[in-house]
Amino acid sequence: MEFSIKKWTLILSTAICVFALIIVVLLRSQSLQNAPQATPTAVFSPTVVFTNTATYPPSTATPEPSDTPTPTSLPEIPDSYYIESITGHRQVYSLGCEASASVDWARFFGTNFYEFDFQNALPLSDNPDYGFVGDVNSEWGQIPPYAYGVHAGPVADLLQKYGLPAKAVTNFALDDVKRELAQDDPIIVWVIGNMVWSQPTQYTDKQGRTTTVAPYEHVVILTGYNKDSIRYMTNGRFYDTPTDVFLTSWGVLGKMAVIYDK
Amino acid sequence: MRSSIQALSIGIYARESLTNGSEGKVMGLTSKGVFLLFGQRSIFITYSDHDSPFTIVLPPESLSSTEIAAGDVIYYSQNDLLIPSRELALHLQDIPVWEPSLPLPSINSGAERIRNSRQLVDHLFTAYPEKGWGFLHHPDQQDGPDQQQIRQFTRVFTRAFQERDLPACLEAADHIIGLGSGLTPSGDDWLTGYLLFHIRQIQANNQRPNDFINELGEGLVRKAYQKTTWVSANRMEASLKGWSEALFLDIIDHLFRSSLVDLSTHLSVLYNYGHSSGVDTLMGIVTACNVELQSNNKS
Repeated sequence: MEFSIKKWTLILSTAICVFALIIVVLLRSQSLQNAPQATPTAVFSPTVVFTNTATYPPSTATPEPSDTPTPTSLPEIPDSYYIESITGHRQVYSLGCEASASVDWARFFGTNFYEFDFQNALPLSDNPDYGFVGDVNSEWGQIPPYAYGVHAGPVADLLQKYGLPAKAVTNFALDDVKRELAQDDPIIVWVIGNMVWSQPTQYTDKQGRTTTVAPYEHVVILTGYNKDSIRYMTNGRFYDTPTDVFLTSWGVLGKMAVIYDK
Repeated sequence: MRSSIQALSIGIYARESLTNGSEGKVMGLTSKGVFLLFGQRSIFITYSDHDSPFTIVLPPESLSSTEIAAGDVIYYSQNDLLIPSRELALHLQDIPVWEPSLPLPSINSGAERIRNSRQLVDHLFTAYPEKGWGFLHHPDQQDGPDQQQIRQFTRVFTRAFQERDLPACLEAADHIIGLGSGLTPSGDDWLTGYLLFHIRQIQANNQRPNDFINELGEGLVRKAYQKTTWVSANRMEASLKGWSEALFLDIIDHLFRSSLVDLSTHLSVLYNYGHSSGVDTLMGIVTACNVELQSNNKS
C-alpha cells in the first residue's frame, strides 16, 4: 500500500512538471513571435543612420493609476507600451504596402479582407491624396506621375467602408502616437523606406492640386514605444528604431497616419 | 509535382505573354479565377468558357482556391505553368489558342448602326438598373458632380477626336485614364471600347489603320502603362490589334451587320462582366459609333 502511494505521488508530480514545462514553452514561443528583428539593411539610401536595439520586447508597462479623470482630460501616457497581439504578413505587391498594412491593421480589430480586394477597391488617381498612383506591381522608389502608392485619405475612406472607424491625420504629434498605442490601438504611418529619409517634393496633379510626395514612400504599423524608441511592424516583422530616427522619416510626408478613431 | 491540370484553351494575348523560362507571380484570386502577372502582362486563369484573348481556361472546379495564393511564384517552362511551392503544374501543350476572327464587311448604314446601338443600350437598361458610365446614354440627364465631370472629359475627348487633334485627344485622355477603381477602372474600359470600335471598323472595311488612330492608340497605351493598372493597359494594348473578349466583338459586329440573334443572353453576360466593366466598355463602343456618324455627317 505504502509503495502504491509513493508510486502515484511520483506519477502525479511528474505529470505536473511536464504540464508546467509545456506552459513555459508555449508562453516563450508567444513572446518570441512578437520579438523585434535585427535591423534590415537599407540599401537605397547612403545616409542611413538607423540603429536598433535587437532585444526582446520589454514587458508591457502597466499604466499608473491616475487621479480621477475629468471628462476633458486625456489619458496619461505610460513610459512605455507594446501591443503584443498584433501579427502581420509579407506584402504581395511591390507597391502594395498600404493595402498590406491595412489588412494587418484591420485584422487586429477583427475585420478580415483580402489584400487583392482592398487594393482593387482603392480609387486610382494621379494624386496620392485622392487615389492610388500607377500600377501596384511597378518598381518601388518612383514619385508621381509615375507609379507611387496612395496616401492616408483614400486608405482611411476605404477602411471605413469595411466598417472600421479609421481616420486619416497629418501632423500628428508624438504624444498622440503614444497615447493611441497605450490604448492598444496600432497606427498606420507613412514613412520612407525602412525609417530613412528622402527628399520630399511638391507635386501638382493634372487638376492643379498640390501634394507632398517622396521617393520610397512606405507604410508601416506602429505597435509600441518606450522613452527612447518606437517599435513598428513591416512585412510581418518587428523593429525598434530610435524615436528621432522615426520622427525624421515620418516627417518627410508630414507625419501622416491612419488611426483608430473610437 | 503533386498535382497537374490539363488546360482546355488559351487566349492569343496570354499565349504571347508567356516565353520559355519566364517567371511570374499570382496576383490575386477572385470568385471567377486567378490573376497571374508575367512582366507587365496579366493572364486570367478561369473555368469560364467565354472566349477571351487574356484567359487560360481550365476544366470546371479543377483548381481549388486553397491550392494557390497571392504572391506565389510561377514559372513558364516547356509549355507548362509551374508553381513549385504548391507542387502544381498546369499543362498548356497542344491546347487550342483562341484568337478573335476578323469581322465580316460592314453592311449597315451609319443610321442603322446608331439604331442598333440605341436598341442595345435601351434593352440593357430596361432589363437592368443603370450602373457605371451607363448614365452617358442620357445626354440631357441632370448629373451629380462626378457625372458632370465624366461627361465633360468624354466630350472634350470626342471633340478632339472628331477634329483629329492628337495632342488634345491625349490631353483629354489624361483625365479619363485610371478614372474609377478596380482592376479596370471605368475610364479605361470606356477608352478601350472606343478604340476597339474604330479598330474593328477598320478591319471590317478591310482598311489599313490610319496614322491618327495608330498614334492615338499608341499614345493611350503608353499613358495607360504609366497611370493605371496593367490589366487595363493590357486590354487597351490588345484592342489596337482588334483583340478583345468575343462578347464585345459580337456587339460591335452587330452594329455593322445586325448579327446578334440572342440579344438578351449577350446583354446579361455584358451587364455582369466585372463590376461595371461590361457596361463601361459598351458605352465607349456606343459613343465611338455616334461620334463616327457625326463626323461623317460633318464631312
